[in-house]
Amino acid sequence: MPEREALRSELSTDLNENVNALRALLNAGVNADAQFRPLRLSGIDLCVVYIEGMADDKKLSDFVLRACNERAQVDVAPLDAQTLMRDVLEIAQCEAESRVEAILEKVATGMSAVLVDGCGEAALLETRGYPARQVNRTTNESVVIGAQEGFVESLRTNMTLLRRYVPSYRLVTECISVGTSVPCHVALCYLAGIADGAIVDAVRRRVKAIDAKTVQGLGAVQQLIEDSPWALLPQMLQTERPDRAASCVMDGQVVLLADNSPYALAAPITLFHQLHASDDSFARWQYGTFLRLIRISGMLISVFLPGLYIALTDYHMHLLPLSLLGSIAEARANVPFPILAEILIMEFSFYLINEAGTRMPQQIGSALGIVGALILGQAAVSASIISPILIIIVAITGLGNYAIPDYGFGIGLVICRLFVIACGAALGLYGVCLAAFVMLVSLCGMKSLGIPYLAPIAPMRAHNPDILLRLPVWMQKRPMFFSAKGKRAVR
Amino acid sequence: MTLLISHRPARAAALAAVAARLFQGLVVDAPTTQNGAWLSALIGGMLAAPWMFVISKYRPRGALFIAPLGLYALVDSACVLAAVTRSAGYLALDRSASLVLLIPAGLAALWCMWRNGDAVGYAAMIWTRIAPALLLGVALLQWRYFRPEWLRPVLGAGWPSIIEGGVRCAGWIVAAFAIMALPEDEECVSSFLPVLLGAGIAAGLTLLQFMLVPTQLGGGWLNRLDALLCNGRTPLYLQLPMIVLWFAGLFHLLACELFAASACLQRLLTKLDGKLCALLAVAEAIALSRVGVLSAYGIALSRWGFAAIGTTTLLSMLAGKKGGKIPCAKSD
Repeated sequence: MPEREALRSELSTDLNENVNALRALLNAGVNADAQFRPLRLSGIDLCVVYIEGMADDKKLSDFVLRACNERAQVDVAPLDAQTLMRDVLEIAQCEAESRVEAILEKVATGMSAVLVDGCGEAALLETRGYPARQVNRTTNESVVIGAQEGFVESLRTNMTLLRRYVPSYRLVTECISVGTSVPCHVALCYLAGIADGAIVDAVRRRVKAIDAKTVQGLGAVQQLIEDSPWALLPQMLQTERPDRAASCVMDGQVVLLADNSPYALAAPITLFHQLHASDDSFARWQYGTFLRLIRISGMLISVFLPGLYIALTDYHMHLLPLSLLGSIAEARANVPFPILAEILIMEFSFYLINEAGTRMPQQIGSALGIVGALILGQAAVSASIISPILIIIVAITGLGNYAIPDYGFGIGLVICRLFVIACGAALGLYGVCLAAFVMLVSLCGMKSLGIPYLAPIAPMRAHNPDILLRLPVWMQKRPMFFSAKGKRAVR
Repeated sequence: MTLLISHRPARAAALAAVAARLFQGLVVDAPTTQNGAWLSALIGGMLAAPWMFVISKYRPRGALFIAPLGLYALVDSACVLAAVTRSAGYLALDRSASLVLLIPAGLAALWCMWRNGDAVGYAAMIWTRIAPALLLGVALLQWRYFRPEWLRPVLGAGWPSIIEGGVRCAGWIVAAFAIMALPEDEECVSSFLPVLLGAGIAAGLTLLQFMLVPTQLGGGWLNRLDALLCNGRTPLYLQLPMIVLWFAGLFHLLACELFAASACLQRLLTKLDGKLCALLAVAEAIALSRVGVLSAYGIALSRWGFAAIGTTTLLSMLAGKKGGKIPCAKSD
């Protein structure tokens, strides 16, 4: 039987036939970890199918094999999958399944299937017990105060973490399998009654519509379902923090979790969500507001400072105070390159050090920062390749970029910065203003799951005062404008 | 692609555009700037307000109304485009060919129109919130240099000149307000508020400018631009916010007028794609702004523009009694 037909078929009542079919589909002759363990219960043959390493041996031996052996002589006839699950097996979570493809998919994820001779259904047992990283501190979204746990690669653990932070019966975690060839399990998490039904439907529809053969984690899911895949800035929020994901869920957003993705995706979002950090909600409102203002300044500096520098020094020297102009001219006196080349060299070196520092082993990474910042910078200045003032500009720009909590958003801003630099170098302040205008209109045209990216500022929406700035907690009574309650409030 | 805009973003775009167009017209375009110019802005607002109310309420759809409105918006956008490139040239790029300066502004406007009307309108909405902060910065940086006594004589060259300026202002308002004739959503509260508010803002800005530079200076277009951007009394480095205000205001105005022109073109030639209409409008605006005499005639044109659009609106309304108009749904 061809593989496709075998997959679409259902189990027969003949155990040998079923075992042979599954053996063939699992390439059991070659696959060392595909296990078929024969058993006998009440004189009826059984076979446990599982993948070694994916299924927990202890669970199998304690609650399946021992349970069957203890009842080997007891009469449990007529024996079928339902009886087996009800009267014999001691596993809490199990289900009957007759479709071969579904059985194999579950077995591949670590569940075990018990085939029964004379029965056209298999009992699928929750025996997943593959090795996984323990819940640990977050690595990319560090906070000074607040929870320190981060998501891990196991979907089940991540769902549990989320449930722990949102202990509500309203929390729904819908599992959807995406990928036509190799399935990837995605969990759609939202609070029923809080999240807007239309938004939940839109996410569900988009996730189900993914027809890629393989989907490697949430990164691919994000690219396949976001509103404007050509836009530079992300329209979904990535977070590796369960507390932040929980906060999104409680605000009425939809959170996506997936197998092998140690982070969550939240949508819909606005530009301002990308500037939030978990510290904000733990700190007093004054501190939270202040930190957000710092981040907004960081974002603006990161995008515009080098472009403005090149525009002012190349085209509008008259707009600089005379003493500053003198310092710049003096510092650049021996530099052989035009300012644009100087900036591009520095920006490129900065990204190079950044990228190398990220990829290098942790022990060397910190040394690299010192080498890059001190030795290379000092040498470049001594060799008159770049001017010292440019190092200050690039360093402030880099700091501004690092103040942005979202990694993807930060990279998008770096590309925007290059655009502003190009415009400033070509057209001076006129170019910088033009670039700013184009970016503003582009942002205004973007949407995240149908929600305008710059809401609640444009379009103006009545909102919880915790989006742009963070006002006192007792004033944060209004629900988010994209949640079901928020929409009702607007209506 | 259909070029569409909702009511609220259109209102914001109209407000930003009216204020910027009047300020540009009164302070830089007008050949003889007199102290009474701010009164002209207010009179222009009052003259245009009833017509704009009618346009925003009845939004006539006939070619008799749409064609002249679109054409007028296009011609005015060419004037604005010329002002943008001359400003860029004046500031630093005087050695660049004007086409080199025109094309980036045209491309930027085209990109913005391709994001559709709501994006243009919402950008204007944000601009209306940023601009006051920048303006406050300008005022704080230059507060020592304001001379209220320069506002005298208040009436400048007298009422005839003020009224003539008022009619001109009404013409500029018509072009900047054209975008308000486009929304097709149900929420279309007929409003002349953007006109009056825009005129009021322009009048206020004109007053501030006149306190920095005496109006009797006269001179050509570039002299007036020089007086605006580098007025010679404040240190030059304090002028940066003013330059940003000027450019950003003009870009919003340009996008608003070009969008109105493109959308009118698409309503006339319904089979044309919106992106193509926008491209055509930008190309025409660039071509028109290359005509050297346009800026000189821009002043005269604005007076006739008001009369022409007023007449076509009236005629369209009369025709509308036979079923040609689309009344707005009442908004709650």
